Amino acid sequence: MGFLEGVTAQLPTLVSGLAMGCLLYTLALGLSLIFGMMDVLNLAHGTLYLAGAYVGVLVIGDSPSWSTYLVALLLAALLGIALGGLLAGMVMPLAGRGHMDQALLTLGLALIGASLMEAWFGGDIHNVSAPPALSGNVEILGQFYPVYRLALIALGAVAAVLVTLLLRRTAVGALVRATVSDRDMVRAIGIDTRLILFGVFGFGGLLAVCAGILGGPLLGAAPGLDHYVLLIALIVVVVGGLGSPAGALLGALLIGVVQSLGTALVPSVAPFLLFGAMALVLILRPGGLLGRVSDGEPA
Amino acid sequence: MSTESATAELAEVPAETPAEPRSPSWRRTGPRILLATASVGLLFGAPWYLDVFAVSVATQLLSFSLLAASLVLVMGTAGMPSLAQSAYFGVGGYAAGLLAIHVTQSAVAMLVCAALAGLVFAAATGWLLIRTRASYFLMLSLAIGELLAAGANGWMDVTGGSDGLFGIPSPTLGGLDLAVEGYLYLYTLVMALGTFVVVALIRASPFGLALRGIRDSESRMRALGYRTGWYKFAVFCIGGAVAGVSGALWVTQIRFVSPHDLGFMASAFVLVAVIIGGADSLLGALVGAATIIAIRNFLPTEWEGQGPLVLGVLLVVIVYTFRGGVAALPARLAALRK
Repeated sequence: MGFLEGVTAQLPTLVSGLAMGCLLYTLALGLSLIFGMMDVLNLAHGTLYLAGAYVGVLVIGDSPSWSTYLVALLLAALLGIALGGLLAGMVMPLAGRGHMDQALLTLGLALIGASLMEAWFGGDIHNVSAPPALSGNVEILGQFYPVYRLALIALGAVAAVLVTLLLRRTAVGALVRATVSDRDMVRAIGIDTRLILFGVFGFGGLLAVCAGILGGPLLGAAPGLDHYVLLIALIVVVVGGLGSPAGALLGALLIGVVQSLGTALVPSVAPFLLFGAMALVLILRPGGLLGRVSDGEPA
Repeated sequence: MSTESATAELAEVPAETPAEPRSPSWRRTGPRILLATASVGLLFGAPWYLDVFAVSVATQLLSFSLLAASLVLVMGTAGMPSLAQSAYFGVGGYAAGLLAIHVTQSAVAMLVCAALAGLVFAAATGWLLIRTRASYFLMLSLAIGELLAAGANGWMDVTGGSDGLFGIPSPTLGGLDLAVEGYLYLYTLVMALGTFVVVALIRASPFGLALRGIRDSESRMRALGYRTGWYKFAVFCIGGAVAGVSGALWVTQIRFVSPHDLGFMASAFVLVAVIIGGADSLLGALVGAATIIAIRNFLPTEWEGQGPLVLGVLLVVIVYTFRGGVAALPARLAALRK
């Protein structure tokens, strides 16, 4: 087998890595923005994702169709905003206390959420089917690609463009960026940063829960998935740079590809490959690829 | 466990102290020395007045509180909120277990091997961790812990994968078979107490003071000429070794280790133990560890498997109402009395 064939044989893996990356982007974006806003490391982010995945199991289940998908996404969006708002409301009283207490609170909520979901849905692995029109494979240049993953990549691209426009071209986006870079100054010019905080938590929650629906056909829904998803999203945020939306995109695509190529080619060392990628980025750029350098360096 | 007898002992201690006047320093330290002697006596006597189940829970408590001590050292003393501590615990456990299966069942060899394994893995990952701080550290250490857990899960040939490493033979000490609950308890007690003393000495040493300085203001310590990076790296490696020892003691008793012992949930358990205790207090961590072990072992049967839920509720309650943990209780009570 020549080198070229060897490379093309890995193309489907690359594509599924990119699809995974798009899914990770939606998670990491919320995580990164929430952290940038008020130094809250939201350890319940994976729990939000898993809640979305279970919404998918309940609503879509064995009868995948466009209408059930839309209903599921709508429900997920509402649930995400509600849960995000709840998190913001619970974190708010701890605002002056430093990062540790807030991280502990979200950790506690993550544990509670995971227990409740396990009590409700049991320990089994639930699978969710892709919408019927997207469930097959398509042949491109002699390789077969799952349509659903290609659709995820397209969706991820659209989402990235929309979010960039929202953040760069609108007044709300400017406010969010300003709050990330200097919260006190935004407050000093008379803007209620608590509203922005609720908004960003709600938006992050929406993205995370909807990601649970979209990721259903890839990862299913099972106890422990919340930790896995949180872990990968954390690595993405560390690699991309905290508080940087573009960094979240770059990190998500990079980690998605490293993860799926690693799992396909050298399955036993895949976790160490992820660590290696993360270490390499942090040595070269301590604040992440697109982060402010000062975030990573010791004070 | 032994609270009633401990309080009874406490009540008797002042009556026995001599009435004749001593130097003021003796008046202050005397009761403490007596108290320490009494509690060490109580600890060593446990196999004679507790039933087998209670002794086995006490053994668990000893090795688990050592893990909490390693986090007190790294987080409380040096200000590095590590969620990777349980990973080094697990690495130590695997090292001890593999040694017992393939090479020797000597408990002491297992302990040394586990300490080295914890040290090596902490060094291999710590150089990266110490470059970061605060939330970045938390995040990165969680990622490292989970990756090590995933590694233990994936390396089927050596670790047994997700089933865990079982069939670890019962360790021996000299000619003693440590499968006997009483011997096992005493062995664990000696090793844990020894390591506890080492950790306490490190915390009280100039090195420990420098670490507190770095925790409170790293830039100031660097301006004073301390090479703060080396201090952090050194204490992180020591913390890894202590966690490894704790893992070895745990495996010596449980004779099983699985990727679950390295991961997120295990880290959360230790973190909560230390937070209950007040982060910068070894005795507090002991109380916290006892709480966690009690939750694990004494939940009513209808609550079986609900440990994480209880833990989560506990965390939320602590964050809102119990700042400073057990260590801050005396100050709080004093404030209430005023």
